[in-house]
Amino acid sequence: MRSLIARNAALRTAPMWMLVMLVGAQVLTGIYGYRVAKGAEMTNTTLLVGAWLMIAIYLTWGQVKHRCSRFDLALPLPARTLWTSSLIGSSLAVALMVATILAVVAAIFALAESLEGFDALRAGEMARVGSILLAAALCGVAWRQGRNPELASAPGGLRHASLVLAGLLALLVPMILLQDRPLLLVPFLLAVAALLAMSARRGIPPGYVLSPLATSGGAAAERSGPDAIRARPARGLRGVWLIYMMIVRSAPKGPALLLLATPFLLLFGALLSGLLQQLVSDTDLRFAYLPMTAYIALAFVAPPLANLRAVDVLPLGRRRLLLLLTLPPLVIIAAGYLGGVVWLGARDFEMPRIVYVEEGGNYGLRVPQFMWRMAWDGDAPPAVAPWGESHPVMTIPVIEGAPPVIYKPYTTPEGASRDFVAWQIWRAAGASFGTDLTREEIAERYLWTDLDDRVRLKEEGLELPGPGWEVVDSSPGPFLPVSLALVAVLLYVGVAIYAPGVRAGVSRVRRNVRMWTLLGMLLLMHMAPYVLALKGVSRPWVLEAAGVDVMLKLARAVPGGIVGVWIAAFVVGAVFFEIAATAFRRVESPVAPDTCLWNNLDKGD
Amino acid sequence: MKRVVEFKGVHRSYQRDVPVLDGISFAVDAGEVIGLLGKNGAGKTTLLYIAMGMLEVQDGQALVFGLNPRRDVVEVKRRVGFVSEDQALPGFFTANQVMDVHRGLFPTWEEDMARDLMRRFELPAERRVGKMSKGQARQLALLCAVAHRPELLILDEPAGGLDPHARREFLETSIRLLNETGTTILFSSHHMNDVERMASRLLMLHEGQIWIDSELDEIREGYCLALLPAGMSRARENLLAQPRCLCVRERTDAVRAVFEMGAEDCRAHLAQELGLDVVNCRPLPLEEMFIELVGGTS
Repeated sequence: MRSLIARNAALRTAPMWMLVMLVGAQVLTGIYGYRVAKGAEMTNTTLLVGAWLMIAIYLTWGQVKHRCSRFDLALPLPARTLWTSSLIGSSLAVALMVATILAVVAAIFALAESLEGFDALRAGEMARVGSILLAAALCGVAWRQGRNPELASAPGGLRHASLVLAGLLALLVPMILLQDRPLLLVPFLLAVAALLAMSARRGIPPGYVLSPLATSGGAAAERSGPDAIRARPARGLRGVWLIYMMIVRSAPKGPALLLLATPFLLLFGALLSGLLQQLVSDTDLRFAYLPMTAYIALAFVAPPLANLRAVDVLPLGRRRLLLLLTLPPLVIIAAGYLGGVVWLGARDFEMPRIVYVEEGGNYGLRVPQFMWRMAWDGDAPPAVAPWGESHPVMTIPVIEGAPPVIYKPYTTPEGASRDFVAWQIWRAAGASFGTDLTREEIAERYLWTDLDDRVRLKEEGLELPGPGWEVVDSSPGPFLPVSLALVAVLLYVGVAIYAPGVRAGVSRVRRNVRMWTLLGMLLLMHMAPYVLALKGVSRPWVLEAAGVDVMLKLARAVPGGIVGVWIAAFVVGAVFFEIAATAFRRVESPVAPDTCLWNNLDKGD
Repeated sequence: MKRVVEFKGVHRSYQRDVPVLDGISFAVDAGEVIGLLGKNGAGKTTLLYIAMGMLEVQDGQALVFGLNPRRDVVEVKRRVGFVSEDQALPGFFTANQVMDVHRGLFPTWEEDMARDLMRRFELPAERRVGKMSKGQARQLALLCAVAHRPELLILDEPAGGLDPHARREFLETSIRLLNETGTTILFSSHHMNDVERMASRLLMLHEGQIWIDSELDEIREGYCLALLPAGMSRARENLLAQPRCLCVRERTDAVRAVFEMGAEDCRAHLAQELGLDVVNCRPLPLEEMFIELVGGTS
């Protein structure tokens, strides 16, 4: 039994799905944080619904439907034994998914609590949500394993998948209604799971069959011979599409990978547009998503790259193949980015960019982080007004103990004159979105000096853009071409490192180790800012601001404005494409057909 | 005669110090039909994949139409048709879609030929490849491989797993169809009957080397099996010391040796060299020769 459980398809594919859950849980906490920031009531319904959606997707499209392999079928084992091992394996796998989601959510909440005082869910509430999710997931496993018990694998077509998904989503009703009464809900769900399992077990025949009896004669009506040929040479876009489908779908789990990766690529594209930050806070961390975006793109590209047998016999050059493999994820990311921009535009929603606000008895000017600048030597230039008034600017070290600092050129320190503060507000507004107001008008309209010579607002809080401030240019910088170029660089470096592992003499294990090491490094890159923050070495927004300043300086150095930046981004992408193409040229089709990147389930199945 | 395939000292291994092809050299001219023989793991598929540009050579040179199939990928593959036993046709495409891809990629695609083969094979054009029988899928692969009139057809165990009728129809169709027009064919098979029926020349691979590279007629006349009584002292050593002795096998009933010479010449040679008056020498059917060679001591 232990050997059967160890070979269980759901357990063997669990690592891949745990990564999906990891990414999904991050998105979930983002949504949760957004709702809290928008003033929504702190309930665990969002968490419950979001987590259950992920679990439902796993139960529908994961390997939970598999009951045994063909190899197992040939063993002298009764179907009930195989079914029991499959039920146990699938239950363990789904428990791992629940644990992954909760662990990620708990870790992020703990981090948010320590960094920003975010009032997250208590440990007790997490345990309650976890127990409900686990019981419901076991219920789902029992139901999934109970469908068509005569078959070696539960049906997985679109119709069946829709039915299963609908059933799993229906489970949300009791979960939401009774979530405050876990002592009633959890035993109820477990009892339902047990009943479903027992009922299914009774229906299992002595031996499984591989497929149900055919019921329709549709195939008989198929036309054959030359009259049935519709000659439409696959050229142009249709040709590209058919060949792309050949490449992607030739990889084991290719269609599932496409379905999984596309929404994540769109999502990360949208995150790169600054969507989340604009909605949730004024801290822009979009560059922090670059490694994860590259991670998703690479995880999507790698399996087809290792399974080129179907197309390798065709007269297609390797550069064209690599372009076909890698361009679509970049296009999807760009589409997500543009979608994020359009969505924000359609909502006509924008966080205030510049705020003059009282903090600790002093007024200070808050500006977006893309307006901070970096001084590599730690020597930030003072702010000098045209009439000679000069003040040192605020600095923050990029890394504690290292010389580079970021500084705020729009600092309004204590002791600055009313004209100086007005001048800084005018400068910041002009740099951010343009304004027709003069500094004299700003000083007149908004500022006054109290008896202690402190510059104060006439009314509480000045948030810009506001009434009477026309936004001229709302673009913080050429983020799209730069983001795409950086993702392309990471992707093509990944391909260049991975491709030498795709050779006939290299074992699958070595190839997979190479792949997972690459993905692990991207994951580390993604986590590094947060780890540094926990260690007190740096802060994610400071690193982001430093990166943005470097990007803006480079963009300004490129002649031709935004067109020049796009051309430069294209050139950078092309250079790294060539590096990847050099390695990709030596990729070999395996002499024996390859199986899935993450498991060996397809062999013989 | 135009040279189509040329291997010069080709070396390829998958593990260090375990060569699959160990300095293979041969050439194939236009119009030849070459049967590739060898036991499992002899390197037949590796050789064919190298010719297709799907594998690299580690040493030596492999040329197809005088081009490097790894570097001049498009130029070479447009002129080659390829069918293998485990060919990965996309199972989710219909036959029409598979043909559409080939129509788009091969400028020399002949629609009449494709329609003729569709009729002959009675292939369902709108059925997905994954729903086809193994024989139908293989026939579709063959159709796609030949309908662009390739100058070189590479078949790697193309009829493996097919029933005898389907196998014969498959091979005869492809070979008759193309050989009539001067297409060069390089095919591997474990079925000696197929090789004897189709090939004009035979390459036998063993232990990373080409053991036999001869016209089929020469093999029929130029090789024989010598059977010596069991129990002869130092029979194996004596036989192996003879020129043109390819291998020796010792059985309980007899010592069997394969010689690269006709039966009569062999009998006379052994009588003269070893003083054996009565030696049973007989011509060797291909299948028997294969078994003796790959199972014997060289």
